[in-house]
Amino acid sequence: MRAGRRIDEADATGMLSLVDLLLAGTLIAVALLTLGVRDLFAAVVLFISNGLLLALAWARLGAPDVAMAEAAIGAGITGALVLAALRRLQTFGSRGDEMGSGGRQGEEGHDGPR
Amino acid sequence: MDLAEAGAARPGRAARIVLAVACGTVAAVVGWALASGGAGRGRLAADVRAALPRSGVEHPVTAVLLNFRAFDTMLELAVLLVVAIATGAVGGIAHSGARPEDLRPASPSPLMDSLVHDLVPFALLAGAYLLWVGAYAPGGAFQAGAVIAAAGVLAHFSPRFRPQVPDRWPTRAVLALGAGAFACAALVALAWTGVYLGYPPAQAGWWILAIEAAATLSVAAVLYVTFRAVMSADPSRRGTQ
Amino acid sequence: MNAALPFTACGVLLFGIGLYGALAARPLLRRLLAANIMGNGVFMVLVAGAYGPAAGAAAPDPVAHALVLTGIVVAVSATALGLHLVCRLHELSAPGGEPGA
Repeated sequence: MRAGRRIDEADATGMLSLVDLLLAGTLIAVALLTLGVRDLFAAVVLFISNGLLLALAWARLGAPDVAMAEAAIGAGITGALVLAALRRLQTFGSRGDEMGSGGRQGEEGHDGPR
Repeated sequence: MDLAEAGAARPGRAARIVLAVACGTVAAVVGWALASGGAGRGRLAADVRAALPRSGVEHPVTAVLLNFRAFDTMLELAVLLVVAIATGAVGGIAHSGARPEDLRPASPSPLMDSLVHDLVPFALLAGAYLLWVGAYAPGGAFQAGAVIAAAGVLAHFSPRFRPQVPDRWPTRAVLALGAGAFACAALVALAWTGVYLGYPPAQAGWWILAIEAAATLSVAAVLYVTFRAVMSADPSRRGTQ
Repeated sequence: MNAALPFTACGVLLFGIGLYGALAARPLLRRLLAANIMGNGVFMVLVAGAYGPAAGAAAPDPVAHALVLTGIVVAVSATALGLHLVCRLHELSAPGGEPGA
């Protein structure tokens, strides 16, 4: 509640400040890139960044619970799950460039999500 | 043909353009509907604030989640349990916790060992704090459960501290604890006050804390166990690796 | 509603982008990511609609926050199940594995 009130007092005139526009624009750009890049690993990393930017957006919108949950669950746990799945899909040999381009082999590729 | 790649050829350029136009139209219609609606918004915040003293907690989101809309949260915990079962994490479908592939150390790493050894206790403490503070400030069961699950995921990569989750009844009990505690609380409340999920207002705070504690354990267990199920590979495949 | 307009518009756009990706992208993994992005768009529309100054109230609407919180947890569960299914599909149809099943 307190955090929400601080945010509300900070922009009494509304949300059209530069930070919000930049944040919204970056979210759209990262979403487009997630679906556009060729390499699946890059797409997954962009997806995790999307989640973290989204947590920032929730903080701007006065939703601290949702921001915490998004950062921990949406970016953290979902990121770990997707990276685990990517590793498992690529361990079975490259099935054409759709699954395996830029392939991360072995366990080292997994020390990323801390 | 590989089932995962069924229809693996990308849709042709014409099909993609049609799809893009269709999705753009859907988005435009949704945007127009949002722009022209919206009367009566904002009443719920006042209603929640008015009913907050009776709910047993001081934070409106926690009150809504655990008291006013407790039924939705109970079903959400049941969904988590269903996913834990469906990914084969329990029931021994394919990927129970203790198999040779999982017991093989990731790679002996003193760095990961010391990181886990130093970081996981703080993460557990942070989770416990988030659970407690959910009654007064932003926090609560789901955030705490996610932080503890993240600690488990971190510990997974250190061969010395990898959690062992054998597919026996303690694991299943912890997984079912959240939804089960919620359902028990609902039935006890039914017997006590005659209202399903109607906590007695005087002790509602303690009821909510107990349910949240069970939910935290359950959420953390489900998330970690599902992560483990997605990580582990199927031993019955032949050929590669 | 005007006060949170950038985020409402962003939410609608994310929904549209996710919808296109869920239908048109080819590796199954990317379609799962696109479905998640769709969900993020919906959450953004909900939370932007619940923003305090937008609705004329001092505090944001807690019911919408609770709905989004529930939605995030259910989304991660569905994503986990979907990922598991994608991996199993990939393994079962690998050469040398049992086809179909």
